[in-house]
Amino acid sequence: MSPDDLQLAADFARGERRAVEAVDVWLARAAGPFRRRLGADWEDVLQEVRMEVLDLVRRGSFRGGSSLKTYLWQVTAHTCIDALRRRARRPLADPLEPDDPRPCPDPSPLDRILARENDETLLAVLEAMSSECRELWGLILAGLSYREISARLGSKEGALRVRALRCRERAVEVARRNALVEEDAQ
Amino acid sequence: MNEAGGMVCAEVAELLPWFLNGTLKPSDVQRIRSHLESCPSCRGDLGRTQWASSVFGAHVPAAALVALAWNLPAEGLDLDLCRQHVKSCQACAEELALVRESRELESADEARPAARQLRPALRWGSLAAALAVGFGAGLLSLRLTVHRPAQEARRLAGRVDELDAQVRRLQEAEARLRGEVRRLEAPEINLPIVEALPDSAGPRSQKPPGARVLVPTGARLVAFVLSSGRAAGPAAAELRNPQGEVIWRSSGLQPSRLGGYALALPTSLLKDAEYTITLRPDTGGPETYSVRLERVHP
Repeated sequence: MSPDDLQLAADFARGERRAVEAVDVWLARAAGPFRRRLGADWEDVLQEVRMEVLDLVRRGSFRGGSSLKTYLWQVTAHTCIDALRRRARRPLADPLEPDDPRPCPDPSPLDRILARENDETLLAVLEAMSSECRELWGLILAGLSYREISARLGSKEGALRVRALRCRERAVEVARRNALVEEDAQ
Repeated sequence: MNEAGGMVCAEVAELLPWFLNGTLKPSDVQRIRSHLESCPSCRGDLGRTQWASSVFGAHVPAAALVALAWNLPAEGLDLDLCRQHVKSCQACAEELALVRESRELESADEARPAARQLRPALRWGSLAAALAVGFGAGLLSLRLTVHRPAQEARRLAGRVDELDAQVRRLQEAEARLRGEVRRLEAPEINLPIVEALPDSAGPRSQKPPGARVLVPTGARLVAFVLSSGRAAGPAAAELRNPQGEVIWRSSGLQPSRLGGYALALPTSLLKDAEYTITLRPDTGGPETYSVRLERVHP
């Protein structure tokens, strides 16, 4: 770690004005390319970046694996991407209110495999899916009804619903197989 | 086969994706809910459908995009898998492009101070070398484009300079505006308050001289209490400069409980001169008040 970076990080963590200003200029520059996509939220996201950086630096997360500037640039890019995703992608809402039926209380071994989901295992399953399945489920996630999807893809409604179910089962099967391969490797 | 809610399990299973994305008819939603209430197997299906939505909505983790843009290894992340996904996912490709654009700005930012630190001899040497390389490259092939990254870096560095200057200008403007806001929000102390009598209260034979009003330098406002004998209802008022031009006008003045009307005028409107305030009560004729302003050092 360069002594200058160490000093700057320490000054920034203490809230020393020059350090804060220097870091702030870098953060604004690093977040600049995201402005177009974030629109009016950009200022809020930049503030979120500032808070995140302050928290990380105070917790000593900056360990000198790169220059302080590169580190800040990477944190900014990461936070901006997270913010873009929060805006753009809403997961399917869980329609089960507290008084609605609860999820299955006795999960099967398969359900336990699926519960171990993380970004990479999900991505591995997705990459094994056909483009047709990805397209169909992409439209479902975009909030289209089966009638709208049927009209767009030129399929009969019944066939479409069966196809969505088969895609789901195929994904489950891939996840099960990947988990078995992983267990064998261990 | 469970037929709770008037639906069989197979029908429920097919509809679950749309149950989750909220596009089913309310009656179908209700039937599915009734079915799920008494069917553990379909509740398991519901969990798997939610999981499938996570799969089909999966994207490259933000940390992996950063790693790809900076060409870094990413702990616990399969970057080959991420690259493969980026090729087929427009959203991730666009996000990666943004992260790379940000990274280029960092590189351009680093290039500037380094260039300034070059010693003169080295600078001239670099220039000569660059010219030689450029000449040689031009002779080799006009299609070679090795100079483009350098041009792009210079263009970006220039752009950063422009933005720096713009940021400085905005910071100065912000400081000025903050100062102005502080000044406007500060309490007005030593507010000059002047009681003015209508001109008609003086001798009728001659136009009375305006009442002398001493305004301390620095005062933002000067308050007038217009002692009117007709202060019974709302009134309008206007202020005329020595040339007889109306420079301020207001309506809806209410009579004070102590009698007359009160109003405050911004001193920025006023010079050392004689002014006429015309008061027009809703009922009754107008009254004029002549005042002669003089600024004094307190």
